[in-house]
Amino acid sequence: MTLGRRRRSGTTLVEALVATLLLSMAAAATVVAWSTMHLAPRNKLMADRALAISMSEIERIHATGFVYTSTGTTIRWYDRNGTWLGPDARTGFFRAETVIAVVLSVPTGDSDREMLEARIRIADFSNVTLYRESRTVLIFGGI
Amino acid sequence: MALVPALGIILCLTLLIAAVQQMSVQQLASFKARSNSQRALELAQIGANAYLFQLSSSFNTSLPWLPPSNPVDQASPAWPVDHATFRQRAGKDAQFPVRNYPAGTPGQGFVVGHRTEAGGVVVFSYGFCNGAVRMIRVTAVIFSPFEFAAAFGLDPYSPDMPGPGGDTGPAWTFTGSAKIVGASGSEGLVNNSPWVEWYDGPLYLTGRGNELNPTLDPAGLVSGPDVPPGHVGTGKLASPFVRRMSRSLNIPTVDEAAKQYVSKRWQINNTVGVRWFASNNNNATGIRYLVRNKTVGHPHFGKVRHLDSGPSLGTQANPVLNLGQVSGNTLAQAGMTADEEFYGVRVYPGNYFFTRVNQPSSQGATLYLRSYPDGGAGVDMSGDALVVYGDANYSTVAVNPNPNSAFEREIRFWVGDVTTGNNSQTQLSNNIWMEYRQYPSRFRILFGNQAGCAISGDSQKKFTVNMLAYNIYRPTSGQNQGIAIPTGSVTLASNTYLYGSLVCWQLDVRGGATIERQALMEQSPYEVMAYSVMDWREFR
Repeated sequence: MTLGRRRRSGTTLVEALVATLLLSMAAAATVVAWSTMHLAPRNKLMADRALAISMSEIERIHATGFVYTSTGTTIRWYDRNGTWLGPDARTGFFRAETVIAVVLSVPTGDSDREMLEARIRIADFSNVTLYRESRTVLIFGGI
Repeated sequence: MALVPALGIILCLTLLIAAVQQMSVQQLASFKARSNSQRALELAQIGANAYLFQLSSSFNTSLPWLPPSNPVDQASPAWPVDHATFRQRAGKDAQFPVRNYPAGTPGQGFVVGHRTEAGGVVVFSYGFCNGAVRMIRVTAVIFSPFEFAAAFGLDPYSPDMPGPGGDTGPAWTFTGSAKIVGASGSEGLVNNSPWVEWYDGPLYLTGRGNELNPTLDPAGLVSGPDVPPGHVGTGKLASPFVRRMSRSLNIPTVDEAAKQYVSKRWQINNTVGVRWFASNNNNATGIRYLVRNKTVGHPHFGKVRHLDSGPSLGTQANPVLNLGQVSGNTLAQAGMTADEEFYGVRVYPGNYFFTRVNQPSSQGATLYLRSYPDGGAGVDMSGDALVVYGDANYSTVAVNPNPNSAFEREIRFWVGDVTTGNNSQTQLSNNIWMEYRQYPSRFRILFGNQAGCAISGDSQKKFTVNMLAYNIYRPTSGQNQGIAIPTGSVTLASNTYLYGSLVCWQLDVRGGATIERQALMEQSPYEVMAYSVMDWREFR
């Protein structure tokens, strides 16, 4: 009988399999993290731009004022940088839909004193992904 | 052996992944905070606008999210409070009533309060959203129907779109070379004469007025001294001259104005409109004959005093103010002595109700309007100080005989329908003299009568008035029974010069007539068509 077994350097099959498994899991997690690293700032950028577009739309509505505002739906298109593409644009990166309707009507004689509500919806070009929804109210003489 | 480096790599990757996740969460939290803060500002703006709408409607509207009346003039702690105090008290203190917006959305909404100031209000509006709070302060002034235009016609109907009762307009009819100085406008068709002269402007075409006058684009002129004849001062030309607005201005009717006036003035719920004043007026006390001492050498020669009574108005239910010639007998019975002669009829600040005013042009009694409070001063037609005494000894200056009216300065004529029979047209002339002349708004005629009004005069003496002639009547018989029919027609005769503001359903301006917008208007807290925001800013 030979005294002691001679130890040989190297990795056992089990060790190799476990190491491979762990590295695979880590690699998969890294891929996910990598993807998140790419998407998170992009999503935040889109959300930031949608917020800016929403603020711009609300300010535009207030600047127009009650007496110059008609009820109905308008759609304005913005590029990926949040720049308005002009009145003739029919598509773009961001879609800003504004719906203005009478929300309150008080009889004052032959006509009614009205309060208008504007709902602004900022979505992607296909109107599937909703980035932001805002509202504002217009009255005669108001903000 | 392979495990050790593998675990080392895994550790590094784990740290990387944790850092990425932390970054994502922070960015999301930062964006959420900004988003909530922006929404809180939007809600503060919504709250302010909703509150101003409620104020002008006397809080008679009802939607669950509308803010309730919340005067904070005497609030403790004094408004505006800081955000920390707001968070402590919102929804818990009666002075901080919370309204969620949209209705039923928890965690976001507004709290609004107001402080009354001379001529307007200051509104404090707190908006909140998921913990974020923002507050704005809005300064708004009263905007009355007489605020913005020399003349404004309201009838939006036309032959292709007739209104109730067969009304086909137009809102304005011009014949000859009428002149309009200052802002004016129409919500209906302007039957324009090519000789009409428009000075200064702008010309507002609102609601249907915008559609019915697609090519109306007059060349504006600049007013100057005696341009047009009788004009004082120099104006400025508005640019653009014509302003088109898609929405109606929703001018209130005289009945609505009467309800609002009574509600704001005396906190009384007036449900009948202008006829409320038939039994609540100053007719019996505030209209007096004026006589002047005519005896040369008399110690009181030239002095003027008021008698204890004025013209008979007929029945209380259907009073008529007749300003024709007055007989000596009538004046003697009222207290005029042999040393005195008839001078005119004086009206003191207060509220008066008539079913008709009959004032022949340039004949009959001059109507003096004491358009100032007790202790003030006015002038006669020569520009000299006019002092009116209240007693036969000419020892005491006359005070306002209307009860509790010493500080009043506005004279309001409320003209309503007769209770039986047909109405007769009111006729006014420029034989009306406003003793304190700076503010035409101190004489207001709110004309709710179906028969209309005709105004005559000349360019030498301006007819100073703020007049609203617009109401709804419902026939009690005939084919239009029960139908709401707008009414309110005013005719300005040739060469009449009206200074102030004229808002009516249908306006007929004859050749040579001039309407000039008042340069200065005093705000009345009782006729609020809307509140007009002058300034808003955020408070932190």
